[in-house]
Amino acid sequence: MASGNRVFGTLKPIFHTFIFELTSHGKKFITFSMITILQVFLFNYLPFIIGSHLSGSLDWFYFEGTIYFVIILTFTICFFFSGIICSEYKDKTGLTILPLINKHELIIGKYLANLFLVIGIATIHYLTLILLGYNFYGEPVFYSWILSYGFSILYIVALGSIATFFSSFMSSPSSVFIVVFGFMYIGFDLLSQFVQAFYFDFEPFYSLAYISVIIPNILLQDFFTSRMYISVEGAIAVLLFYAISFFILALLLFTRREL
Amino acid sequence: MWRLKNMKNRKQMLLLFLGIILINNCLITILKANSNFTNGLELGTQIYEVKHFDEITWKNTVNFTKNPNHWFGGEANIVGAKSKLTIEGWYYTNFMTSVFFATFFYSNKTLSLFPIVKSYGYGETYINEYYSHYYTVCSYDYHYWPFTTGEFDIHPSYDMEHSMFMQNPQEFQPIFENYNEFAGIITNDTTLQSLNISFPFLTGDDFMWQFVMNRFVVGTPINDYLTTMLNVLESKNVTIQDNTLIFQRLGEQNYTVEVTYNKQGIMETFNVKNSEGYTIYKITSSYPKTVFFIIVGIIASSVLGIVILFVIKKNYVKDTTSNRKTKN
Repeated sequence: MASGNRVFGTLKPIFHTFIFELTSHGKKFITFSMITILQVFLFNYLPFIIGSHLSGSLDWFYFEGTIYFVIILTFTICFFFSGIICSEYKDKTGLTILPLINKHELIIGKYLANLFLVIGIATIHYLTLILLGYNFYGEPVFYSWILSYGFSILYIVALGSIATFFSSFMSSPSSVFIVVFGFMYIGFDLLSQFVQAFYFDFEPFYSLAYISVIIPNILLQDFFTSRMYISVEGAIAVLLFYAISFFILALLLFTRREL
Repeated sequence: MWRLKNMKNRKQMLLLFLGIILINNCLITILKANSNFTNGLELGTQIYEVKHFDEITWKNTVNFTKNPNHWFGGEANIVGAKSKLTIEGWYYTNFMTSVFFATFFYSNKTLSLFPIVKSYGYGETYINEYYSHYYTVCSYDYHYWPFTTGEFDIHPSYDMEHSMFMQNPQEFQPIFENYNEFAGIITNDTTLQSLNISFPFLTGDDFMWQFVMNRFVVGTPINDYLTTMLNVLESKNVTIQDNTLIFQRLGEQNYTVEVTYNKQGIMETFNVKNSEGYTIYKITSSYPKTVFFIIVGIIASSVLGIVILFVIKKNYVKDTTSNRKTKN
């Protein structure tokens, strides 16, 4: 009974933080959802209405609809997760909140809320894409989107953890945003070029930018038969490693950070 | 006063200018209507389904030995079997006569004989030399899945297929005459006669049946297009009612075939009836686009409903707060 009360006591502040974070980011969620829907319509509906040829098959239709989505997803993750910790210090809201709530409970509640919102945006993208795919190609609905969706969620968790880590010691959300976004599209690229200068054949599994390519590629029907693509087990392992290690680091840094 | 007059003059000039443009456009449309038809195709999918098949009546009326899968392939003789057609895109181009012979006139048997005929000098070069005319067509690409009772594969059975429709159906007449003349040349060639090779002569009815069974697309307006085709080909046993072609045919007994076209110009329903009007075989169509628009409509209405509720609630709270303040 006592342990039950203790668990409830821990979960209640997390739940309240979760709800508060959801409501305070409601407008951002609506904006990014509309951007996602607009992106799908601009690339996967409008060109075909005004005269472009349809993609050869449904898997290519899904693939073409998802390549640009990965960039929008990265942007969305950076936007939502960048202020997760540093905003409490920058806006001095931590002075009010932190005496009332445990730091662990605060970061978990905020992390889960932002995760929920970004996964919601990814869900809206996939549902819109499936609907448009059905409009042009009819049945059957190609179920590989579930695999791509699963990898999107892992990617969100991993990149979200990285953004949370940077947010735990940096001063403002904008600097976290720039650092994470820059790391994704410039940092990993430079690192890969440096590594490949010495080890030409080394597959850059450390690069999240390289791993993120699995999200659209897994939609192609020849993904599992062709050797061209990244291995699924390797991608899952790397993403989980990034997610867990960076979140733990963020938790440790935040616990030690003074107001 | 002078300014007002000037403004009135300018308005009149503008109206006149717009009127000229409008009239010219209407004139062009009227002039074009009789000579060219438009492309009604839309990108997307159409699903055919066999809705009814009475095998015993079919054997007694249409053909004792052959069933609908000889006409449509796959499992077209099984009720519930579905076939899928996805239009991928189109473009306008010109072709010479030989292409039209191969597309519209040659049957499968003729196509199999054509390489032999070609080796005796009656190939595309010969045809284009003697029937040297270009015709404008709308050429379209499509994917096709034949009739099946199972699930459709992601990739089509017939990938990147091409077909076309004539922009001007009146041009079927010279091509039709040219074909029959060419068939006569082939049939009368003594060398080919010794090999027992001949090309069939086609009547207007034969051509229309072949046209429909190959599921060629027609231009819009559909009724005018089909009427023009029937007139130039002098079909005797084919009539038209709205967008439906009605064939009077003789198999084991007399029967009719009704082929209805949708607004895109693609075959929508196919109905075989006996002389008493009883349906022996029926194919109908459905469009995933319809489901898409219904879902989008539901989502849009829900979002609009939520927004309206939110605005009403906000206004209600505002009114209640201001009323309380007034009372205090």
